[in-house]
Amino acid sequence: MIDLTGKVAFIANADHPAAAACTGRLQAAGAKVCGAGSASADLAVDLDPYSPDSWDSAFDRCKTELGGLDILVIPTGATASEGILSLAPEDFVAAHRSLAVTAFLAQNRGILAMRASGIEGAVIHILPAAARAAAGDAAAACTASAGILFSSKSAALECAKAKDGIVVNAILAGPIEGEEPLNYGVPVDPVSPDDIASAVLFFAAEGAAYMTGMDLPVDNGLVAQ
Amino acid sequence: MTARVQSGPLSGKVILITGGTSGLGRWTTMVTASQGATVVFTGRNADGAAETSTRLVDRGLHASYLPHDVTKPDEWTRVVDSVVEEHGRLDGLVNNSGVSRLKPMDQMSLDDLEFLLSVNVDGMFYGIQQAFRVMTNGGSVVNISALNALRGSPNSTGYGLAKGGTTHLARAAAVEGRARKIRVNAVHPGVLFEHGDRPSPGAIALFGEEGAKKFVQYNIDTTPMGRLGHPRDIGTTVAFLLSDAAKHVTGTAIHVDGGRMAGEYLHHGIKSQK
Repeated sequence: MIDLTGKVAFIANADHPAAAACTGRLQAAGAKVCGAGSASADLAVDLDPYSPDSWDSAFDRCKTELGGLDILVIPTGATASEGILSLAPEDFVAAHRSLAVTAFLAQNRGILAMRASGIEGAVIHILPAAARAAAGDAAAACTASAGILFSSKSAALECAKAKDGIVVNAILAGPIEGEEPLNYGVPVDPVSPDDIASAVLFFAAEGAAYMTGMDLPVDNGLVAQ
Repeated sequence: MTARVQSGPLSGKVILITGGTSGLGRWTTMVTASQGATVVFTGRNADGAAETSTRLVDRGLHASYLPHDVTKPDEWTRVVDSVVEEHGRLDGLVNNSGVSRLKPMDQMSLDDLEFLLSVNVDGMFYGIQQAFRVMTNGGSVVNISALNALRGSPNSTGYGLAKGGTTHLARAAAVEGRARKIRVNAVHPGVLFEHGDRPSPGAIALFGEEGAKKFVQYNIDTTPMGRLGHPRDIGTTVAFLLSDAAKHVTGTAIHVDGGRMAGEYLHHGIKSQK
């Protein structure tokens, strides 16, 4: 049983299909949860995902009002788009940035907020398995999620080099129950939000403190195909 | 067109190469032209374009140049239409234009990120889209990426975000290209030096004379093959991917790096470039 009593978690995107399960499981393990726009969180914050200042304020509120920022969960969704030929250039850019900029700012500003308070925290990305397994009609989601994955590995190395005690890992989620699956071209059973939350708890716990820059598929074998 | 006809693996193919006005793109232009392709190279630097043309002429080759900012969708339409109008078809696209900006995360601004994404991600997407539009008889697209797309590296939360996208965009496009017989691959260069072991003027400006020599030696020492890559090495790999010899190769991420990805060399003491 993972005990997170006294820890504070921040969930960067309440709209993700696994966000509610993560909130519930983190709370059940004893953590307090701050959520961006989340009703079930102990503290709900509003933020503009494209504004560095807005992320800084949200993390400050989390630290001030809940007493810490030990676990940062950054869920990135997977949405199919038009095929490459019919996707308007501006729609590609907008779809790409809505994923990439949000995760980039949450990650970098979150790590800086942890560092500023000397917190040896855990950053956990939840990415679609499309970060490794290319899907059709999802150019923006594939491009953004793979980029975020390698940004997370770079962040992990920067933190390791700085010896700040912060670890950065990623979960590669298969299609999650209740969401429209991407077209991976192979049959794959959906994973439950609770399966994703279990992996989040694993990376949040002390036992994973020596793991960093890792990506863990939770996808019923999709990435392995 | 007054190109001297060369026969070779790329004979009869019309190839478009972005960023052919310097370095890797210039050498890829020379290699593909020498293998018989009709080559159009693009870029923003007219002086660099003239230098590429001179080097081609020195080798008895020819390629035509079009000014081109890859971050503008309209310019892509103009360039690709112009190639098809002039040469009747497009068989290969090399998405070579790329930019790098390495900074620790506390210094990476949104402007830095946007600069990296606009060229390394958006520009390549526009290119693939335009290639898909006109490659009605199949074709080959090559995205030039970086080792930062295959593993983490310090100071790369932005560059990795961009180049990870460059590589995976190629894979996603390969999936969609199947129906149109278009292959899409990504190439990852190691450390390249155009002047053998002599430090480049850029490295000297950055590190000073002695520092530049150390920088070169460091890169030799950390490359398993014990030598630096030359842009020509990448050009020949790109030419292979453009050719029919690679007709069953798609969605791959190829590294041409003297073995750097095979070992744990990359991360050893990459210094802040100051």
